[in-house]
Amino acid sequence: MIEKGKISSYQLGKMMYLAIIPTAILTSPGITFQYARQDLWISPLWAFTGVIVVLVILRLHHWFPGQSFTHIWERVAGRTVGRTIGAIYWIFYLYVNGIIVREYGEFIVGAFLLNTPLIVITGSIVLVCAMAVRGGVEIVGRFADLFLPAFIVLFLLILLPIIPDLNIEQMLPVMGQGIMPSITGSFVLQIWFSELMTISYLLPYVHDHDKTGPSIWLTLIAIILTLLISNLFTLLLLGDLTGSYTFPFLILARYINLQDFFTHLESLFMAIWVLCAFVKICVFYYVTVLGAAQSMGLSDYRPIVWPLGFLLTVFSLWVAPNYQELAHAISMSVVFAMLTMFLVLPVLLWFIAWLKTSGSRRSQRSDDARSLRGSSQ
Amino acid sequence: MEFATILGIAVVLVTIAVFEGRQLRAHQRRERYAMITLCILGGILAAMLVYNLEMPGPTQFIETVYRPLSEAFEQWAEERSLQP
Repeated sequence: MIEKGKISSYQLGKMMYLAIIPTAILTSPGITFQYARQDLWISPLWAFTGVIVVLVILRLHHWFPGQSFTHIWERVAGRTVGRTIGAIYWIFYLYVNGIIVREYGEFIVGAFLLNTPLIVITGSIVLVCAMAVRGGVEIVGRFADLFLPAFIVLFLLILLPIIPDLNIEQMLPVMGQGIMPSITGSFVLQIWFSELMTISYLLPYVHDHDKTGPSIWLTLIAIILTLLISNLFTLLLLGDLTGSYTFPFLILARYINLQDFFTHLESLFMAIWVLCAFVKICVFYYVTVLGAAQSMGLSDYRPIVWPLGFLLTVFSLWVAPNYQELAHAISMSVVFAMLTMFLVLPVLLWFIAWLKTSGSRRSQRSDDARSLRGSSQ
Repeated sequence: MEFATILGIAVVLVTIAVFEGRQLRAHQRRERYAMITLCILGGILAAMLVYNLEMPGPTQFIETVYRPLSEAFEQWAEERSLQP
């Protein structure tokens, strides 16, 4: 096996939580508001893709223990098809990670470091991530361990001081136009739930398999709850203004003012954002590198970490000429692309594997029956 | 200016290639080829972006592929939002 490190199920859960939450908190309230209006806090509950993806991936892992996504494709559909699909996957992960790095950079430049060139910020985060990724999955897992408590504390530090300013009337009428607006609003959120498919690449390195299922389901529930809370707080504070900000949650952090003493708490949000974006970029970067090494049939993934890091920096510039075009693409066509790659293809793989295994089971049963008949004669 | 940028890109890539190449063992030829190919790809892409930042990228490709779907969804969402 390429990777010798091992992680625990809870580390996997923490990694996935931190790999999904940061960009979701940042951009989802604004995009969801376009469709769901005052029901945007209900939208995270419609996590259909998350449930389907987790079910499918856990099932696949049960059938092919210790095999990563690329290897399962190779086993099920043949070597050539498997490697081609593996190659498409790592290039897609590179592209998605390019978007993430770009979002990170645009956010830092737009909100905090106004005069710094974008390439300096994206380049330096990729540099740091490359060092972590070169250390292997264990290092990334430990970073997740380390940063999760910090994330929770900082998240609460932003939420608790604004509780007195929340206006409960902003969320009325609840489901005023029925259930459909919240479901339409959850369309873009499906991106983040489908990203749970990434566990398929990391499951072979988990050492306590009996706890994997509970920890992944717990992760999904934690993601839904965090999004629900952050969307609800954004809505109750900003009301109809939610849709007019690119990063509504940042406004929340800016709003905090305790006795004219605690102000400018957006630096807390910046801290959250840098920590979580680091884990997020690391996880996607690691999966890119691992997928590339597997589909090219390499014995070691470390030699291609730095070259792929360079490609990642280039991709972060290449994904879109400016942030407006990127934001438009994220809310529409990229959603379909990610649903195809992270939902449709895994379900297709599960279906083919199910047909094959049930076929072999049937033939096995008829063999048994034949041998039974033979012995009775 | 552009020449200096390309020179910088070349320096970074050569540093990566030399640094990683020295850590590889002699029998890891496949890894060496993969690493150098990725470096060259990255270099070509970066050089093209230096001259033309607006070069059509993967996002445009994805938008072209999924245009029918996204137009249908937009229309559907608009019709829904028109209802009182």
